[in-house]
Amino acid sequence: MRSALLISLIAHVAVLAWGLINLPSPSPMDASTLESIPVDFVELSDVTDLALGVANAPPEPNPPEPAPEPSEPEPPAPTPEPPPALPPLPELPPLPRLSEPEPPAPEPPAPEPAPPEPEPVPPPPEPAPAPEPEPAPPEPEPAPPAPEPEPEPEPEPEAETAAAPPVPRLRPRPPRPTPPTEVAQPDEVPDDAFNPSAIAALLDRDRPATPEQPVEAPDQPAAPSLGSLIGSLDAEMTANELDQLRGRLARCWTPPSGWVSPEEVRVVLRIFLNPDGTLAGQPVIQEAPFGRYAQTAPESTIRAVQQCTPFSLPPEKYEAWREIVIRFDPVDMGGL
Amino acid sequence: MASRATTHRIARRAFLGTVLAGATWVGLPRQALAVIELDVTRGNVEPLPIAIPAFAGSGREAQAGADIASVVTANLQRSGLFRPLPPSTFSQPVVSPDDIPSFADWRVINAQALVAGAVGREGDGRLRVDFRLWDVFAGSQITGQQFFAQPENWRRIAHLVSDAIYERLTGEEGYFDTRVVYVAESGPKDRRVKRLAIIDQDGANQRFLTQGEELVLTPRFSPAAQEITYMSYAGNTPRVHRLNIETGQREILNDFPGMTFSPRYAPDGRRLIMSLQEDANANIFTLDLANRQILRLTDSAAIDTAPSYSPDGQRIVFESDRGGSQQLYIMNADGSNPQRITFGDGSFSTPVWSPRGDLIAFTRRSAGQFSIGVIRPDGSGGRILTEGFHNEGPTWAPNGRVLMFFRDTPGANGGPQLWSIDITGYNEYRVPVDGFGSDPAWSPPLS
Repeated sequence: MRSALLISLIAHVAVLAWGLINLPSPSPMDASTLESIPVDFVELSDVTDLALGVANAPPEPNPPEPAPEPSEPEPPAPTPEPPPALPPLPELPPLPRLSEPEPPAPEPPAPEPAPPEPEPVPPPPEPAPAPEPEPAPPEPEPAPPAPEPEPEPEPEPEAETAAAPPVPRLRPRPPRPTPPTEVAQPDEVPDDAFNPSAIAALLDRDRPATPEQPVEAPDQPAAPSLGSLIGSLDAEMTANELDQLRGRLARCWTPPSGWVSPEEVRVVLRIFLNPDGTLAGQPVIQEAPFGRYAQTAPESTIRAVQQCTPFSLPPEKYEAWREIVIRFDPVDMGGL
Repeated sequence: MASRATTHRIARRAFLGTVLAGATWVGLPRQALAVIELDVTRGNVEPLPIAIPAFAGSGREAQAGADIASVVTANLQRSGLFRPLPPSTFSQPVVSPDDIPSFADWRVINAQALVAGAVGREGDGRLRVDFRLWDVFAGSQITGQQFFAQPENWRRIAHLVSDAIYERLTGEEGYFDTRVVYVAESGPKDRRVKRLAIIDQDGANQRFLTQGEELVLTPRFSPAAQEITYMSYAGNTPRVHRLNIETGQREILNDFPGMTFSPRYAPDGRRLIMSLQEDANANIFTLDLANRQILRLTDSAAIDTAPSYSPDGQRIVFESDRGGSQQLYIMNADGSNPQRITFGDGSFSTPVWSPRGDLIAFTRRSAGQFSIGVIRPDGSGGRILTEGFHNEGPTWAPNGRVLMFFRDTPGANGGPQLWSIDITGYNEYRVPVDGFGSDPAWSPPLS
């Protein structure tokens, strides 16, 4: 019987192993041909209050009167700069607050964001409904995520937007390890004063700034918001933006002269960009022509890209344009 | 045994669990991230901005350094493909090729390339010239070379440097280390003295090869040797002559019983092709220079003249009025299968096949205007590059990109002058040479 058990065991394992190896896995759906249109589900109340580009939108359309967080470093109803102690984020100008609703409310929400900031990663996606329960839990985290806030000042706005409405200030303010960083965010509105270095810090994967928290988390839009500064994986470039980029490259490119047919100088180049629009690393030549211009044609395209950068592209769509494949093919220019 | 079964079960579960976990991880759908693909279908045609500071040198080499840089600058500027930046904008007047330049200074003036050179003298008196070509925006070296020459040949070094820069940045062969032979004319219009002269392609180093005692016409360079052939009325009979440029030795080709004109070399330099007048018509012949063998290629009742070989020596383009008007024809090198290639208005003459083989240049006369044009050997793509009172006699630069021709100006004080134009029709300029000149012929590269 032992042997039978053993044989059975072995047979089971063998069959499973065989199945694992030989059975086909479902083929992935081919998503490459689909043109996905990013769709944001926007609450009507959000839309009515949200300005395009979130310039001056109130932190939350209807933040429940969050009790002013006295514990917040920011005094309630202070000027828009909630946390006085923000040192490091220089560029973010104080967002004019639509303080009309309830002065205390904005404040508390602002301070709120601070706490969430510390724990940006975990809570940011926190939808409005959940915040209440969360306030406490997220609070504790400030400490660990403390280092985070720096790298992701921007995502804060989202976090705040999300967190603020639900529960402004139930959170017991935990010792804010890094209030300053958040300060920028308190406005929660993704301020239009975009801080490129902050974005760079946030999105530069190479930088080992946040070992503990995955940097991707902030990417997910925390709440329906237009013009968010957080890069979204679903962001796509509009046709207009692509046209502008194409026109700029066309102005920068001088193909070697003397070609008779365009394939003599046709080059396909792959470039990688930093969040601030500068070139990241050396462009990669994917296709180069044969013949007389085998060397000078690719060089002319690399020179064109080097001269044209930094590009000014929408930072919130960085995921869409961090890598671009450019085909240089002068079919619209007359050859000899 | 129970424990063993349990152990087995646990182990199996663990194994399955791991497998399932792995499968789950593998099977998770990934985010589809489409990389942007852009099509750039046009560019600009601006000349490349390049900075050429004086070459570094001490003592009398300093002057040589400045001279070489100015010759290089003039060459690249004349090519029309480069825009040398004014030295007043340079952050430093001289950049040594031994230093890495501070590219930021050159990016500010938008120089895309930088030439850093130095001139020194060797122990044996030879000149040594080094240069580096830098890509300013990439911050890297593109090319670098070193030349040695006798001091009096500093111009050739400058032309070689120009060729290296030109080739490396445009992909085309350079044409700066070449010479042009032409007919220099002087004196009053009714009694012109015509002498054969030779110059560098930038107009410098003019030297006379004949003294003007006889009328000379249509000089042509040999592609293989430092010799030219031309037509001369010495002895009152127009005949084809040969002249060795280096030795000065000349020869009259008396092999033909009659007037010969319009001579050209075959691509191997061992044969001449020319037109021989027979009574009222003219036909095309070749003459082997070694064994003096004569070969007749055409035998028509018309005037066939101005033959020119294709660079591979397989075909010949010539001018003929067998169709009733002066038009261009192409035939095989043995004279068979002549085909007409021009059908437009006007009369076509002086066809010259490009060294690249892709175009034939010609002179066209139509409605009182003379034009220089190009056409493909199959007869398509004919276009006029320049038109005016009188333009005639195109000759190709060795890289097939630039043409030189002569242009006459009307009036008592007018005279022919050498002009140059790019095959795109742009960059037309007068060759800076003293006096009047006609019938230019471009040499092959000297090196």
